[in-house]
Amino acid sequence: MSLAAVSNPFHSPVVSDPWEGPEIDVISVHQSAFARCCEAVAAVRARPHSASVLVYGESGSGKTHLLARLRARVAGEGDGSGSFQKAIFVSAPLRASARMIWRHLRDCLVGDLLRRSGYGGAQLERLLLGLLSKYGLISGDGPLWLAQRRQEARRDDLPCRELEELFDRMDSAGRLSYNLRVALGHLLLGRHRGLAGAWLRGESLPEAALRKLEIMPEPDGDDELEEQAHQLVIALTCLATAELPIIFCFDQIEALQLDPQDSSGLIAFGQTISALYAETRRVLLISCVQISFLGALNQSIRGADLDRIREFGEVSLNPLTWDEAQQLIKARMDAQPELKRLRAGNLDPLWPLREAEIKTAFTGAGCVARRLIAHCSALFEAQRGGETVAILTAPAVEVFLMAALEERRRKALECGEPSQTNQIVTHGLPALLLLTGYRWRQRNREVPAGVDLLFESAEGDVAVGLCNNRPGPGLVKKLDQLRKLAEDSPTTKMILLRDSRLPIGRTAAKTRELRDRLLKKGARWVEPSAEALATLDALRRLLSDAKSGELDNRGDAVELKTVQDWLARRLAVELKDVLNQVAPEDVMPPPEELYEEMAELLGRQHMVSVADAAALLGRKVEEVEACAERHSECVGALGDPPAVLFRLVNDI
Amino acid sequence: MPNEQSSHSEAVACALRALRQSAQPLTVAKLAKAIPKSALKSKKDLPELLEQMVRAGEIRSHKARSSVYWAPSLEGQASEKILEALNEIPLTQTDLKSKLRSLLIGWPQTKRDEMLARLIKEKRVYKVPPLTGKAALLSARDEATPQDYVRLALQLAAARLKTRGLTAEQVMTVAREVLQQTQAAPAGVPSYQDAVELERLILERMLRLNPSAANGAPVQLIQLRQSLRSEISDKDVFDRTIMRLAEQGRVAAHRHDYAGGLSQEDLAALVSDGRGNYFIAVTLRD
Repeated sequence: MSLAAVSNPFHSPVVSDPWEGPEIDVISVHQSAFARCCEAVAAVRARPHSASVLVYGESGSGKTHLLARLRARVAGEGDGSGSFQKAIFVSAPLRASARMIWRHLRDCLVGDLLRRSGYGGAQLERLLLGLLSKYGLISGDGPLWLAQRRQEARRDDLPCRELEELFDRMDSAGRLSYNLRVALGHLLLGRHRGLAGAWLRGESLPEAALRKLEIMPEPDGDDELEEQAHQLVIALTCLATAELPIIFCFDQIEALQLDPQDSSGLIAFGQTISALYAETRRVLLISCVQISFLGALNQSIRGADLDRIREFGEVSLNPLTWDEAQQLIKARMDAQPELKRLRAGNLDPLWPLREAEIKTAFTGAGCVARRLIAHCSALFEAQRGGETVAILTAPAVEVFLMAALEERRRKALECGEPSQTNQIVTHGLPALLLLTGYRWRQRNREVPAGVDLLFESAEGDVAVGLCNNRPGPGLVKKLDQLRKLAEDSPTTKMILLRDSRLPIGRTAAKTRELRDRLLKKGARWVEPSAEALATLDALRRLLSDAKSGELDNRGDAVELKTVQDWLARRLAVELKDVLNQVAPEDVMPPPEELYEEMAELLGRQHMVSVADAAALLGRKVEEVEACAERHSECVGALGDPPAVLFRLVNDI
Repeated sequence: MPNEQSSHSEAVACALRALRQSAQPLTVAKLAKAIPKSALKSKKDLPELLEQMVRAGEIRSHKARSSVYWAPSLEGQASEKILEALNEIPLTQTDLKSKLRSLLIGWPQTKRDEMLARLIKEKRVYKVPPLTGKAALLSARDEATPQDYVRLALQLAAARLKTRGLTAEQVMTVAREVLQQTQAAPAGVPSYQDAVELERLILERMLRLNPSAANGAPVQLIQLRQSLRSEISDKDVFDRTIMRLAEQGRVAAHRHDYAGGLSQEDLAALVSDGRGNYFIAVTLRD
């Protein structure tokens, strides 16, 4: 076999998600940083407190790889010896706005607790089984006991008495609310998993779903939601034990900052870590940050909070030395049996690469892993192609960014849910306004009740209220708060934003009435499409990745400024539409009542004849036909004139 | 007639082939040798044939010396030769013209001058300040490098010392000796003892600024520089000491990821390796 037939061992990039790989892990690389993290895990096992570690590194230095190594180790994947004690692993990339940070952490924590890891079950199961066993409520094989209990639960719909007993014994502080106990019971017994998981994540569920889960409705005003998320995160992390501590990792801290002058996100992060540190035990908090961000971190975060963030220690991921680089290169090449065989006969340990050429990637006697791998990939390709040495250049940045944005947009369309809309808009809209040159300054202090985003503009304040709650007391309360604001501060321009996938039905009379009153007072109603929200999500993710140095174009981190300029130049049509709707110069038509009713009907029935739709909605057939035509981007129609209407699902 | 036409085409093809294969312009006499007798009725017809080819744009000539012809692509190659000569070292116009005589053999002098003028107009050749005298130098770069000026100085020294019987090689040997002596104790560069002392000072101060540095915590270079302002006032000395410590593997120097977006003032506060890399922090290596 010749070199030309071997695949490039440097082709696979570095780890970009701690839940991936690491496929090839050279344990001697960043050994001391990893050892320090392991010491911190040992410390939270040894004492009933939490600990906090701050990890620094250049972009591409291997911060995520370090977390992936730790995750694999505590999941028992590692060396197979099982000598390393287990732990629960949670990763939270901080793509969030300052005012929704606890809600974001709740989403990340629950998402990862429901992930399968190690022995096959979800991490939450492992946590609860560990506690049941620790308190002597079950004995023997936990998974076997659980399988029996689940069989019984399918037969008779009874609560899990062992779990109830456990919560009574362990929760003297009363952190585990009735609702949380019920949801955890459902999840452990495998009942209503989807709904219970959605509630635990903080999704707004209809009353029927709550009744099914036997969960009490909770207030859903913004402040209450943030506080509930805070309490739930603390309650869940308090399930950690010495035997099964929780490792909570925070990545992309840089994405909390809208621009270099904006410190609100970093201040909120500092306070969040302080609260987690003070209110939990047996939890290890690991915060990862780019070393170029060190100054911003020191300037923006309160001293006491910064001390908490680095309480156990500060760890740096140093650029690789030449020795480390050689080990990594050899490990990558020898991981491929064909290449290993070809290399066996060579005296040069780095063959087919050459030391002098590899070293050209080094600066300051070091080289970060991402740059080294990209460089070796190009060298390998050149060798394989029979050229002398011609380093392959990275794709043009425009081409790379186009592909990167499209990939994120596709994922957002595939996985996008209305429950994510508030996160997307609160984090994405300020970034969109900033990069398109709107001189609107976001204000995070003294934000009136009911307002999610407040901007100061030359024409006065602009308040954005996100009205994505299901119609009910929460939404009525929010609209009423906004109505009061409109009366008290008539100069404030008001924008009411609701996901177009959430039509307000005709039964929500109070909600409609309040909305109409607000519209009469000059508020504008904006309904971004699923495509617009997916593109906004992709945009904020691309910017977050650029801020945290994770936008890797063959070893080169693409600078934030480059990304911002490029995005501003080629703004997607759907985002321009959102901007036009948000900008106060335009006058938007009020929402069309018939369309909303039709959308709600199609949300329930998916397909309906025009005649039935007209009858159900109490309208004329012609009115329904005309409305369907006006909203052809959301309502599908068959026949000419249309005979059947159906819900149009977005093409990805 | 058909025969006449085909011999004419053959003569054209032969002339073109000869000109394209040649590294220099060809005279009518040389072209005549490249065309078979069967393709030309008489040698006297050749100038007319070549003139037709010039008019058709297939080949070129110059009114200053109309008996010489070349393929259009040869002009590009000639321009590259001019650039190569200037890439080696900047030259005065006179020196360059003299060099081009041997580099561009067979070209009419006026054409050589025109090609040079065109390169200047296209900003592929630049006028840069001379080392001595008033005449501007021509260079392939928009700015002569320090290396260019050092080479020019050595050339000048070699020319002056030739009258004293020294060969160019001997002058270079003397220059190397002088350089070795200055490298031992260059002005503004600390001696070995001083360098060791500076390194110790930096390592100590890192631990004083952040005791956690002993366990791998980073120290910002802006802070470290500020803290050692009275002891190491020279920016270059500080920067070089940091880079030396990194080369020795005693500290890890962390590169700023987005130095391109920083102001000159911000860049000056970082540590530079002189090769376009800027470092923001250091950590102690194990």
